[in-house]
Amino acid sequence: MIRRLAWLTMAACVVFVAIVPLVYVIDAQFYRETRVGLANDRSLVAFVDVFSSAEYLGFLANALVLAGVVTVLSLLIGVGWALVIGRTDMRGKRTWDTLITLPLYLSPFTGLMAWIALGSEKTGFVNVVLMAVLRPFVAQPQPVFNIWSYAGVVYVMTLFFCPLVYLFTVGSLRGMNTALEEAARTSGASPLTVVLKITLPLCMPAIFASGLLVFILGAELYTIPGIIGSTAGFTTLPWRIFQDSTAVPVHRAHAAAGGTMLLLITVVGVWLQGRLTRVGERFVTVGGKGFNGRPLSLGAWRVVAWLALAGYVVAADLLPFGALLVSSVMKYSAGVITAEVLTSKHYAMFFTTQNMLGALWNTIFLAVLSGAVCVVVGFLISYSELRRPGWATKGLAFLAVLPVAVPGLVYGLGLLWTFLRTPLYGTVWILLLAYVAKFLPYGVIVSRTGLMQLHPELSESARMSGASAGRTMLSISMPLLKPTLMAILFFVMLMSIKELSASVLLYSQDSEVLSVLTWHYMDNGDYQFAAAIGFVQTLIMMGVVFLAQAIFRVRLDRAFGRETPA
Amino acid sequence: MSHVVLERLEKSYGGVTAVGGIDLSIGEGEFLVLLGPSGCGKTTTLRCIAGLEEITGGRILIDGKPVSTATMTTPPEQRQMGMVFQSYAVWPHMTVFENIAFGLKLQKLSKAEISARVGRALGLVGLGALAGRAIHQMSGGQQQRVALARAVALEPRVLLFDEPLSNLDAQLREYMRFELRQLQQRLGITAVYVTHDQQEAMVVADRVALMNKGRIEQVGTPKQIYRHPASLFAATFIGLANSIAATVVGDGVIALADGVQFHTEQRGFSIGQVVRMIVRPEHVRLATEATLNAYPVVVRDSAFLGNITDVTVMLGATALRAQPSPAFDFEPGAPTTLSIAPDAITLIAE
Repeated sequence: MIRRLAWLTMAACVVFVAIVPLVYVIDAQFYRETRVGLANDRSLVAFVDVFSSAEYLGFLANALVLAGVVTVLSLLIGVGWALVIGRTDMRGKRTWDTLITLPLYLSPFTGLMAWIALGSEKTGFVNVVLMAVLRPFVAQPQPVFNIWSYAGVVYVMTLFFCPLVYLFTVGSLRGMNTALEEAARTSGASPLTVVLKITLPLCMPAIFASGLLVFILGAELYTIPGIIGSTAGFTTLPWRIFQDSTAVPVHRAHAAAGGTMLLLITVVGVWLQGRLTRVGERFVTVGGKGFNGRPLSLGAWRVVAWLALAGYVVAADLLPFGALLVSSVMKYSAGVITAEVLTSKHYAMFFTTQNMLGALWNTIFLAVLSGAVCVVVGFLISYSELRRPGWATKGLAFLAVLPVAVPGLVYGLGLLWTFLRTPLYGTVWILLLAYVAKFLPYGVIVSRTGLMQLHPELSESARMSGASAGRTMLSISMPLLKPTLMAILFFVMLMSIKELSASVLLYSQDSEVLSVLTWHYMDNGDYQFAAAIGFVQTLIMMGVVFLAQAIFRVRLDRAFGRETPA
Repeated sequence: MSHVVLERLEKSYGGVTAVGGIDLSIGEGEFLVLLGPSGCGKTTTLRCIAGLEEITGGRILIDGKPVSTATMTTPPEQRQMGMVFQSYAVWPHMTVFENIAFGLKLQKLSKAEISARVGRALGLVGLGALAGRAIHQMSGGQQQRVALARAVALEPRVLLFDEPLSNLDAQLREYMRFELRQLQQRLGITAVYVTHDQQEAMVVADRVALMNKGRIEQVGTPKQIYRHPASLFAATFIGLANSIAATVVGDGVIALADGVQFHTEQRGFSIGQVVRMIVRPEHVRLATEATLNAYPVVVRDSAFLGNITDVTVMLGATALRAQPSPAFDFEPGAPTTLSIAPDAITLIAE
């Protein structure tokens, strides 16, 4: 009885946190707008405007084209890396694997900040260095890079999204039965023919699924296209939604309608992706374990592959980290580093200002708490779904996973409007709700996958030994799933630390977090202070990654369940 | 020691009936085997006794007290039963000792009592020295013994076995049969054992309940079922059997299709009734001087198997399998004689 009550309470909370804000967003577009919010009477103006005006459809097209370009480039690079790591005699695969996937656990927005320091036209470090190198040969060297451009946005997004393609594809390659490839070899196919005609076609479901995922993430992202686009002169739909909801006068119904439009795209995308993944599993379960066939010999191409990989690692891991550090100790943007521009005042200020330390504390507090909640609630939901299948438990699991398809921006809006008039508004608790709603799906999906691999007899034998259902869960199922649960914990912690889309909408003076501060100072043009905060944020995330992978031996990449976006 | 009674036990999933209303009584200290082909409902029946499945009809009583009805299920942890699973289901995150002590700790026994009982249980299964081992360091056979020790250490009222030997290799499987039987005899615990292996069943069982399609075909000692199968299914599932269509032509006399007659001891059929004549291959005697139920036959195939020869002979158009022992050679095509003792023939009404 008590257990049933507890379950019902949990179910009600999940529905309230995960579903109500969505309903709010969808409903809000059908009201008349005022300068500060919504009037009480219904109106179709915003809905019609967003869904049929050339202006908004243009924003949509911009977002889709941008996402499309990023997707194609990420696929080319990600699949390339996967083949090199998964199928060739490249040396040091484990190290490369770690370095290629590292950007997944870092913040793309921090990456943007670093690349602004590196790739700005006049003061970017890369441009300054390249121009110095070119000066003896070219009369008037022009800057090579300009991050403040469409190409700049594409570049940074691709840099941070292609590891996803890599992860999915290399996973599929590892699960593939190599006898399929060996059979092609014995049928007279050259190694290259095997890759093109056998290996890649077999990976297609994984490749498509990851491409779709990158497309969804690219289409819903507003931070990077927003910061650059407002200078470079283009606007995507998510950025417009953000402006509609935050810039005075607000257009809340427009924002809601735009959010709904975005939601439609992501829901269809995630649904398609889920289907593809299922198709993919049908492909892969032909499989064996591990690649034990003879790897493809790269020969002279090994140098080329090595240089390409090294270039990527430098661009995605090393340079951003270095650039953040360097620009965080500078007084202003300058291409040349001299003693006179160096300063430690940003860090001094960071570590002495009350609200900075507050933000640091909030970030860590929220990360740990949302991680813990997602592990426990996610586990309980999938446990009750699998051990007590019924419409209620399955329905709850479905609802809890649903937010996987919801852009952070839409969640932010929904939670903001839902809790505007409650005491929760303006506290860290509303951020916690946002993180839990957004990341609970990982908790459910990943623990479900883990539970399904546990033989039910392991639990049944505990029952036969005299343990109650609850005791069995605590003493048998949870300890056996410890690696999986730890992976969820650390993964959600990382996702929470880097979460920006919803946080920007929900933060207030007393509930700032590091990611929001970087955004705030970037927006005000104080890049150096933003870099200092970004550097601290990155250090924390690297610390969590290190803690997870080196100390606790957690396979973080496992948390990217095949059907879950990053 | 306890006795278990199943009354009209029914279990269906959605519209599919897994167990279709069976009655069975298992006496104190008895070793009962539920035997049958896969999908016959034997494992479901066992899981219902364990309380791992809720039943949809009938009752299960232990020592006269109902533990399962269509509306009430005593949870498994309150039934005081031990169970050995097919996958062993020993917990890989615990040592051997912790696995066995798990249930004892839940009973809030003293430390000394727990370690004494774990030690005794490990001694019983011959793993006395391995208490501190991690599970992944053990072979399949050893894990199996841990699972057995874990079930026994609880001193349960009933021991349940779900195909416990099916994951072991053939040699170990044969050895463990005898061990299991001895252990159960020594402890005197009531045991219910599920298997699809008829030889295994015959080694361990006091009585066998032969199941088919959710129903019990026959209950009896292995000897009873082998000697007097109640159905064609029972005759062919346990041991080899010649099964030949025949018609009753007189009191204790039947005739095959081509008119060849056999005398039988089994009576009680009406003249003209169509029956099946069941004869075990070892009861088909070849090259004998007997005169009753004796006919000339021709050898069709013959295979030397060491302790026996597997011979197929043609009695007119009817093929009969014989397994004479000690083995000696029969040339295909050679004529010989056949005889079957009247008490070796079982008749089953069609």
